[in-house]
Amino acid sequence: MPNDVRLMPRLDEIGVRRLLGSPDLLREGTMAERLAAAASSITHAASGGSRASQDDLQTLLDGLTALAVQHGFPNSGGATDRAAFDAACGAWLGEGGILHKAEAMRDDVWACVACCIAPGIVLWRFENGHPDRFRGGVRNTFQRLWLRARAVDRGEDHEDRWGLLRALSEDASVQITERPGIGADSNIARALAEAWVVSSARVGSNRMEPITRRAARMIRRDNEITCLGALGEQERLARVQGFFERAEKA
Amino acid sequence: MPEPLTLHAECFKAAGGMTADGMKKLLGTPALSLLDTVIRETVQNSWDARREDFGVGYRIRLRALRPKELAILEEEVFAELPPHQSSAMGIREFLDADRQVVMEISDWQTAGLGGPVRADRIPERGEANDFVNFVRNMGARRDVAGGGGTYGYGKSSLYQLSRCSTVLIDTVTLSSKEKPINRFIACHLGEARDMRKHGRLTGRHWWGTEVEDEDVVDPVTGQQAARLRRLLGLPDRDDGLTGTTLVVLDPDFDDGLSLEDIGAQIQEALLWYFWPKMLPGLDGELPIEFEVEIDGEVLPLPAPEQFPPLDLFVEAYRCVKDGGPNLYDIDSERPIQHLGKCSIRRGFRQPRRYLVPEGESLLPSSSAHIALMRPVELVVKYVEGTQLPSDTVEWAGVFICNDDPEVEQAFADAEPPAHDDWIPDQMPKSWAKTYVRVALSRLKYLATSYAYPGPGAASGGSEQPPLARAADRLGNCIPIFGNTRAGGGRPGGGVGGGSGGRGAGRRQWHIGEPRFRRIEEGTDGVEAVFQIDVANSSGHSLRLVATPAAVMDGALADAEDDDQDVSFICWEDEAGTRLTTSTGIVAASNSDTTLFARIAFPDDGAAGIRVTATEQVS
Repeated sequence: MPNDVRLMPRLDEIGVRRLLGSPDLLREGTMAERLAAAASSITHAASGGSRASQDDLQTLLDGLTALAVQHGFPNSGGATDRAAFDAACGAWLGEGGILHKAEAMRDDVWACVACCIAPGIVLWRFENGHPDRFRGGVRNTFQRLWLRARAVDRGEDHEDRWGLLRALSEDASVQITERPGIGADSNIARALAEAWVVSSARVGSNRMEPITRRAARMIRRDNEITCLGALGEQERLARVQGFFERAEKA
Repeated sequence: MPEPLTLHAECFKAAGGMTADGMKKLLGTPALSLLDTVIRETVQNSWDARREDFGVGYRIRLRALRPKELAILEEEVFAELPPHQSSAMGIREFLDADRQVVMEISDWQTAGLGGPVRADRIPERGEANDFVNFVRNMGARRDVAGGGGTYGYGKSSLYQLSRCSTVLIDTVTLSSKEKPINRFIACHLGEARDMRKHGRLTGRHWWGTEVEDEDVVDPVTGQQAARLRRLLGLPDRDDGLTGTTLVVLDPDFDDGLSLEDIGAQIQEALLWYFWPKMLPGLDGELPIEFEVEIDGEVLPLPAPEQFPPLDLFVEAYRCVKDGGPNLYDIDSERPIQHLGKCSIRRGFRQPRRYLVPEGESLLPSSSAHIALMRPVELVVKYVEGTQLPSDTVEWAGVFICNDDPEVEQAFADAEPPAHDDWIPDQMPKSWAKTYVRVALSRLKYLATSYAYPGPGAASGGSEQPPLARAADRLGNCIPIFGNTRAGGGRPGGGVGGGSGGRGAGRRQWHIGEPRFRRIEEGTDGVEAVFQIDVANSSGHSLRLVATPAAVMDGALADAEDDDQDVSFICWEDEAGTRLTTSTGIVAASNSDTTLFARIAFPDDGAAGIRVTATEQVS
């Protein structure tokens, strides 16, 4: 059976810094120019698939660009549009496509996506262009969306597979993906997201930020003495919903 | 003014000899920086010269000579300069510079450079030959069983570091009748030259006491050596405080760096290569008490347990020593031989405390390394492996080779002169070579495969999403040592501990890490009691401050995360008597104390305590 894994280019920290030091190249340059400028900092896995071709990378860029255009890229789009872009882009990345999940778990792959392939979308999504939005990690423009998608994916067979991505607020998403005790276990992350939706319907999404933070703290603390990830799905969900109810009353 | 020291410039003997320049090249080309090589070499020397397995003092001091010290150096030590310009010029330039910077490397509770002072004298039975091996000979093999170094080449790094290739040596050793002996000598390695007046010079020079009718100088001894030590401002060695001070003149640091920058590099190198020697033993004593002093200011050296990623290496080290999870036997199958043990620990990546700019740091921003050691427990090198696929977690491993003499010798023989690698290719075909080759091969495989175990080991069911698999692997992130970080289990151990104080090779206080003792039902809920052992032999009292916190994500919550429902109740003594309800308490000077901290926490979580200590100097 042919191996269809695309080995993505990986950009090291020196390459990230080099490109961040060339704002014109980020804004105006082409993908080929940026890849050439950072060539000495780009590597690929030695084996395990075939290297992503220029066409593959262009397909990735075209896909990201099409989604961004739907939400106002390059010249318009308010906060609501950008939040909608996050949900749509997360779902698109979560469904795989060119980025195989083994490759998508690497920070340096996402650094290359943000710095070399689609920096224009980064600068549209985050106008201040903070370096963390380009570097690999939980704050990378695209990596954070992929992490969210993996964390709250209801599964291919679910009729509303990416419903949680659309429902969650930015703050709730951050609470999930930037807390290792939650984000590293999709069972816990999904339970938190489902409970958030229920709680949000009850008290209103505009009141959810302090409630989410309190509940996330309770969950992380509880996870030290109860292996939440090992509970049955219903039991876990009930327990997490209980924390939200307590947080609402606090 | 006493007679100045006499210069002896060595000439080739009829049978030949080695040039000084050749000696400087004996070290080869280590992968490390020259400063790191000097630090590694001298710490290894100090450890090999230890009188006991604990309490060795090691200090690096960077400073500028004061005018009176310079005058002594110029008038009494270097009154006579080497005959050839190439050697004399470097020393002259140092003496004439605006500022005379020196790097002093001193040790205490060590044997000093004992034995005969001439290379042609046979040591008495049981007598060391350290002075000759360090000052006169090159490449002499040390006969310290299980020592850190097995060559005598590394000392040439000291001369390489000096812009004028000159080192002062001040040592106090004990005679066979346990009487202290002071020895002082200056050494220079220059270039071999032919001079009509002086003959064929090897480039080796010594300044010491002239010996009538003999073609050699001996070290200055007795009161004259003690006087030079005092007048040059070298560390005091009264009361027979044995050990050695090496003074590198005009150390060759990057011009753009301040002494403080160099001090930070030294601190980091000490931590990175010698953290096992900074860990207190069962009795609380440190194997080596390190100090770094820059222009009179002592730079605090953080405890490895509180200096990520060394905290993970310490966990792995303790697993190798005491047993624990993720402990791998590294064995050879043909011939059958146990080669050593390797432990790998993983944990959440803690924020770094870079002492030097991040880009220049020896510390990896994300650890994926195995520290290699022989049983002497000095880090030879780190094998880098594959990082875990998330920037929130990292791993660290420790390999210590088997202490079987045959195996230990194999690894020692595989080390180049700088002791910074194991290179089996340089060994003759033998079982020893096989041992080293097999161990390195297994360790490299372990390092590269740990983050991504093979398909059999990593595969979950097809329904299991990748992050759940990652979570499985993260499952043992929680440290196993309740007393090294936040503990697993309900009352989550503690964070804290540390040591400090100054002194000639003696640590002066140590705070043990909080140890969970018991849970009790209190008046308002669950209470936990932690024990904190304080050993304070300093002349100052210590102020301890306890900060309780909830445990989340395997660590004590920081202030931002803590929802304040873990509270401090009181300090107690061993009898359970309440001492104070304040989080701060004072431990008396010159006493060992055991204190207990009581905290209250909700019954739906885990909690721990962090204790910090400061010396109260009036």
